[in-house]
Amino acid sequence: MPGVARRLLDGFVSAVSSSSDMTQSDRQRVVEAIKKARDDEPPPTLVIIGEAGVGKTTTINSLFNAGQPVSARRATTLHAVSMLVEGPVDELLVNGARGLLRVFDMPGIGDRMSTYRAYRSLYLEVLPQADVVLWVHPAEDRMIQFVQTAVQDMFGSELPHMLPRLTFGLNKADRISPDDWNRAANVPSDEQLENLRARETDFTQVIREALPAWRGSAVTYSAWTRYKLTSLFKQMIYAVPEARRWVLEDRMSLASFVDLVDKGILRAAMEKAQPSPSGPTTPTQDLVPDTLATVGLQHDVMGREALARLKALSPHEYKRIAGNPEQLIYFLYGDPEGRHV
Amino acid sequence: MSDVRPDPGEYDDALDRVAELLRKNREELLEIERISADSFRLWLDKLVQQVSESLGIAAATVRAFVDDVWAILGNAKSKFKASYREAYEKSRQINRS
Repeated sequence: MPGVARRLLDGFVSAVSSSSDMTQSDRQRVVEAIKKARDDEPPPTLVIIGEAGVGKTTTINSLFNAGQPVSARRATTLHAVSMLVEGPVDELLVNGARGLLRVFDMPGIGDRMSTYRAYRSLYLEVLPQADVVLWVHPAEDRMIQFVQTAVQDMFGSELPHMLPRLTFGLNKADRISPDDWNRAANVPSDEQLENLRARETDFTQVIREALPAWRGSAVTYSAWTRYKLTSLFKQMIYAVPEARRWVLEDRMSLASFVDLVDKGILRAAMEKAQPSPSGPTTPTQDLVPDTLATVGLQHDVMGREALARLKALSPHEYKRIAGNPEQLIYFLYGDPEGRHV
Repeated sequence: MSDVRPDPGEYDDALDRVAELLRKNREELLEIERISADSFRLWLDKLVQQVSESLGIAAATVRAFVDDVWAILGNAKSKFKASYREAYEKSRQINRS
């Protein structure tokens, strides 16, 4: 399924006929202008900072299904690596990629301020271009005084307007002490979980000591075991300028941690986690008007048109479409992938 | 990934932890979806003036049209919230081999 914005906008195409104050031609022109503006919107720009080997590329791949080759870069490289990342075809859902990301892969500062001084001008040149800055640090590593000093210099003194863009991901949560990750369930042990929570709290506090105006929270995650990728993405999307957040979500394609959970455990856990059923039941042809009422179309022009279209379906087709909310919405508002429903 | 199960004494804890992760994952995806929809609406609102000027249609008319369509789509989505979101969540978690 495409991103929220794409689905909403594609819905405009069908809904265009129901608006009353413009000619059909003008409505169509407005929709086309909006679609063009959407297509022309620049891709999200992500600046990712971290030491070689901390898992930056794996993180990008696990958040955006970008399929980038994982390779260690020399920590002494004195330039940023900018790459346009285009996700591969999503075989499960769509025939196309989720779209372009602009990624700046920045060297970390390690444990020496001399490294930061060497990179400083590079940081100051690249950071203002970011929609979001993701600073990746190993969850296990407690040596963060240089990070604290560097962010204070960059975001506290030089680029304070970029402070809202800053996020911290503490990667390799699965490796945190005592390194006894529950591989069958793909979850941390009790002691690891306790340590991870403490790390998030401590790291966040240290950053806030340096940057009292920073409102984010450090997130522990594991790109490798796909642990808490959603939490990391949520932090990131909040950091993006408000009118650009949908652009990042449009590219979201998270690797699923459940793929790495033992199937027996997963089945039992899914039963526990299942929300109470509230979706529509499979209707019969007699329920056509009620079906339309549930989508608020009963009393408008579009509703009458949709009703006529639904009534023209065979019982089998009606059951297939009206019994599946996504299919029904696509039937009523148009399928953004252009398939026939 | 290993198919070795945890010790019987740990099994229930592991189950609870996975269930909790699933729940949290679902909630966060819904939040991300909401953030994205709000953002897109903000972007649309900013676009109204530009579209109005480029097409020569009154901004108020374009805005009313956007409001109208947004209300229809929002109503449709909210009515099918549970199942629609379930499909959304599923679609945003990509299985990789």
